[in-house]
Amino acid sequence: MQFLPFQKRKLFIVQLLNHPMKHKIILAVLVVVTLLLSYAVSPFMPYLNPHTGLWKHSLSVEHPQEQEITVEGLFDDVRIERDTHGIPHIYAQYDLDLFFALGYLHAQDRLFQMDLNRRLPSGRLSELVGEDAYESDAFYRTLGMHRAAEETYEKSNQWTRDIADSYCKGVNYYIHTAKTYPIEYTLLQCTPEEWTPIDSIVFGKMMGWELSGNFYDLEFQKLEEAFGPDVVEELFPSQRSLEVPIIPGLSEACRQILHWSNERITIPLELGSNNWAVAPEKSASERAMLCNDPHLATTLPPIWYQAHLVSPTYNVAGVTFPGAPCVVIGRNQYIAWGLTNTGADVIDFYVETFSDDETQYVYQEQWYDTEIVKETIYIKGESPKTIDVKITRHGPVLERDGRTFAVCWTGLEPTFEFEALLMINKATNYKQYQEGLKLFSVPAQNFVYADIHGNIAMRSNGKIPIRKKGTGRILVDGASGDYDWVGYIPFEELPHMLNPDQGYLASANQVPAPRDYPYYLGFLWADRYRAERINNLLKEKEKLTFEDMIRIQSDTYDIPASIITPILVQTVHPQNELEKQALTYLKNWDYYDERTSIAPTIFHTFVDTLKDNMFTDEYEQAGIPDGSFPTTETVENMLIACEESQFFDNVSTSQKETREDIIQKSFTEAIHELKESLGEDITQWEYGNKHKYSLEHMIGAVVSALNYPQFSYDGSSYTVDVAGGWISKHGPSWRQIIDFERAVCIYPGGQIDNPFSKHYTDFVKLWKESQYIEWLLEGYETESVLIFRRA
Amino acid sequence: MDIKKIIGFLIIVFLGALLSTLHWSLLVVAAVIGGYLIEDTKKAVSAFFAGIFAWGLLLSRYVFSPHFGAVNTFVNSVAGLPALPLMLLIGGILSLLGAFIGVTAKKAFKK
Repeated sequence: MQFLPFQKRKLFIVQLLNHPMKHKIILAVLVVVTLLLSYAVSPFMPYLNPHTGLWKHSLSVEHPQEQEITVEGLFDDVRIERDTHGIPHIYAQYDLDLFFALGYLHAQDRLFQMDLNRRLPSGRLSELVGEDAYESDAFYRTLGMHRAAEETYEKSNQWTRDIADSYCKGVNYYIHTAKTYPIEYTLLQCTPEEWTPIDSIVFGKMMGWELSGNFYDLEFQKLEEAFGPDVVEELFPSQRSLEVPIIPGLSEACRQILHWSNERITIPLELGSNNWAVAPEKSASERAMLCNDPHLATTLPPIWYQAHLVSPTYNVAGVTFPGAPCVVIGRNQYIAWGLTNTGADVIDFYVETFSDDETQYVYQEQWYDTEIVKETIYIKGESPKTIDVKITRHGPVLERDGRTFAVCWTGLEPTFEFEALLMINKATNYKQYQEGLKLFSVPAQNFVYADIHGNIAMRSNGKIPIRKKGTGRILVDGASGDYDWVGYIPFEELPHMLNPDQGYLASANQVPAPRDYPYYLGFLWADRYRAERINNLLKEKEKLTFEDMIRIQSDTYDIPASIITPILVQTVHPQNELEKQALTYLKNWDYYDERTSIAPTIFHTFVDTLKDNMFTDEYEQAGIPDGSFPTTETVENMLIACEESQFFDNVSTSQKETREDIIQKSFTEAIHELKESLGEDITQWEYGNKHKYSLEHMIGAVVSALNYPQFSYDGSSYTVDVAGGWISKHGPSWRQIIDFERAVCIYPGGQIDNPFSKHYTDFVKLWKESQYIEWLLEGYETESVLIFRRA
Repeated sequence: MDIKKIIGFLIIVFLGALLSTLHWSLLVVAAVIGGYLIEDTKKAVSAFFAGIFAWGLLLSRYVFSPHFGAVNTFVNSVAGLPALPLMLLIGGILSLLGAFIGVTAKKAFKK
């Protein structure tokens, strides 16, 4: 490019200034520059707009101290008092008004969360975020939770439908009258659309899928193809020698649980929970006590929304899912209940035999038409795409990991969890509570129960299929019909116990029933450690106090550490001063995973390294480098009882390594890794420096400013106060302790989704120190009052 | 002091703020009208400040909220730079360009 010489440029400017059209030329240039500038800044202006940009969220952060809204369609006035934690106490004269108010409050405090939670399982996320969500949408559209939700609504009874409809009216009343929507809508440049009862149900289905739907069958197929069933049996034994079932003493055989053989399979479970109940005779207060801490993804805003609902029919308090018109876990004046995941096998994959054009499939030697459902996925900024969903008698046909199969999952049928929970919410005794449980199908849950009459109970509850043949833990043939489901375990025969002699009942995702239980329940049970620890702590004291319950819920004693560390200390010969120091810390460890201790850092790094060294070589050789490693309980068993296990040998070397070799190697590597990451000064290796807890916003991966800063945390995958992995994102999503005179609770986060509200994360400080708020249903301090006046 | 120039300035501030509630780019329209009244290219430089005042006026309803500081910090972190001065600068430049258009238009179409 050549520039004009200075003299020529000067001449050009002079000529322009003297040109008769100069103003028009300059005008044209100015218009073009202005248009270009406007175009350049336009992508940022939705956020930087002084009127409608992000700054508008400075207003309406906290709820007004007193507010009255006149609402058409209410039967009577409704009073909502929010306490100083932002927890609403809703007082209504009519049930439908009560749920209208709950819908309004859910929308007011959690609208974006609700929106996202309905879009994901409905396969409508692409409408918000574009092409990136297409794969996810296509998966959920194929699975068809929204189709099952529609069927559920149609088959629900009128009472449930009325409540769901009233709840929707509340949500939509807020959507139509809100001055500002949550900040996420400004960030994503979209607005919410109306809420429907199907949205509430589909979210319930999603929770069911998260807790009971999985692709472990595929994982096992892969493992069995690679190693054969015997090796998989060694790697993933489910009923292990020291297991303590949830329901004790179903029969004489249960007393011999120490002699169980390895019959079933498990692989690691990310999600888990604890719950237990103590009978009055074992309680210092002589009242029944109930504790629960469901372990779920701990996001911001939290999965739970706390509320207290009062009407002539209801006086129930606890946690709700924003989007659902019922209390999921909580208490009323008479009963309290809590949940842990059963982990029952309620999903099977059928390999179908299709015709060439896939319009027909074989079933018991006859051809049947494949049902085709067209699903159109709307994508932000793109043209809509339509997919053909194929459905056989076993379910929708999915493709995954290069395999095609029909999915049969209990959640794809109409199920009535809201109705069940609404019945439980108003139950006044065990009988009424059981009536509610009968309707609860998906996901199968261990329901713990206590009441003011001193009863305690536990029931592994839900729809659990009975198979004609096999266990469905790997892919099965769909054409023969041999592996079909022929019914569900009858309600009366599901594992359950009322008022046991031992005076307590506890579940922590372990195997629900003893070996002689007549039905197949599943193969995915958590390691025994949490269950064993809770049972030990409940057993060891004659009388348990409320404070004992608090201590148990925050207990960080690490059982596998107490078993593996002595083996490690005996086996390892330190190679240098640092290793010597590390061994000293391990020798002096009390086996509590405390954030200020150094030994847990060394132990957990060692276990990670040990698993890598034991299994990576075999998995790589078998062609499944990303296969699931066995749980720590399996490793513990191998270290103790299987000194000759093939997994101690490194198959990539010519010599045969022993258990001692692999322990020594793993220890040296673990210490080296810690030296690299935390430095040579071992006093800096405090567990909390490496073991963190992360509370991430639902869109925190994109807008990190919405996240809570990571913090040090106690516990591990094996402790009652659970916090798995080095950066934990799953954990006690809600803690409750109830003894019918006193109740405390806490969850990680806060009631309100507005990141500028004091109630966005106000519970976190207490939660991370295992502290609680007093759970008051009366006598609470009121922060704000909202009154709905009947028009 | 020429009253037309003051009116031109005030039009940019108040009409600019009003039109910006409809769409941010309409600030330019107010600035064109303001610039047309100001007439003088040098005096039209004041439109830069008028644009800042116009958008500042819109922002003032949020500035006095006790949460403004927190929100502004959040906006800065999302934007990755001081968003408030940037927004005002954009308003000032758009207004300045609009005013220049107004002044130039007046000159170009003067009979």
